[in-house]
Amino acid sequence: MGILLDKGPIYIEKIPGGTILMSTADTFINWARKSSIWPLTFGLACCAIEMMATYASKHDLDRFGIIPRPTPRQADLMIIAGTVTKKMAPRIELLYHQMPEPRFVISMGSCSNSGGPYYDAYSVCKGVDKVIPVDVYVPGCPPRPEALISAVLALQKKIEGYSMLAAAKKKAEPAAT
Amino acid sequence: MTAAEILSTIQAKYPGLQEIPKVLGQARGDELYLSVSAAELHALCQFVRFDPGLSFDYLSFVTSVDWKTHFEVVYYLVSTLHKHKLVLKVKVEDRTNPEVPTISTVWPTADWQEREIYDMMGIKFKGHYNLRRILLPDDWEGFPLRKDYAPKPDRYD
Repeated sequence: MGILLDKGPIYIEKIPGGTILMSTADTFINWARKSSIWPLTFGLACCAIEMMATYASKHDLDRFGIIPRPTPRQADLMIIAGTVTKKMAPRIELLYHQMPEPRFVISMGSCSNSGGPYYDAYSVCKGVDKVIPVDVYVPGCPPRPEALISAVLALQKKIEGYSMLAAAKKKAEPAAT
Repeated sequence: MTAAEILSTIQAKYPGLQEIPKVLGQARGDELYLSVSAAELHALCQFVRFDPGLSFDYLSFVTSVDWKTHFEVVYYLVSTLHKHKLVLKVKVEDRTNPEVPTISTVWPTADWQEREIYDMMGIKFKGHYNLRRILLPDDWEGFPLRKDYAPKPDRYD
């Protein structure tokens, strides 16, 4: 959890009265970002019950810095917990676009991965990735809290690999050509 | 009241009404089943609701069945006062423009259930004050619980 335990280009030097710690901006920003993933508070179906159990004291997602936010303006992560109906899909799209960047999506459970048991239903979206991009898929019906925690850890690993400079370069490239 | 007593009370006012007999082996309770035409449904409901001997004060549910050749709307009535039950079945022959009078004026609980039947099976309830889709999006095409419903793939499929 601590910055010292994470891998990264870190230089530590002891000086009288303290320590000097040097690192790259990416390492520091990614560490801050992955340690305070704030998800949007919303659940769609029974997976939401498992999600709530994961938030609660027994599994305690709070120890990863995960605190549910009631508004998309303050959220970094969207956990799609449950069946995405065709009526709900445009609303999910809207909520996703209301979130500030960088934003992440965890698709939790068979329903939001692919439609799951409702694949043949007339009213269910065949996977939330038809509507918004997904970072981590969690299989299960519903997934256990441990599976959701593992998805959060996978997302943290993904965030660790981000580079602001590379992202800025990528953004500038199409404009230059 | 027993089923026979309910039948005789109703038939005293509506002599043409026929009981639907229980077929041997059919999974169904011992309550009285009546076949009602759409034309006399509203008056009959008004009668069984307010007749002191019958007093069906509670509409347990409204549902509909697609028998491929025709639709059927089913009303399950309960009297909390006399502890007896009654089932009304209305046959709707017209598949292209099925229509049944609303009974939400007799039992207000029928309001949303009739809307759901309209949403899923497309049976119109004449006289309903707010007959529009309740579960599906407003711009949905077709009625998905009909047996001949063919889903149209959209961008979510």
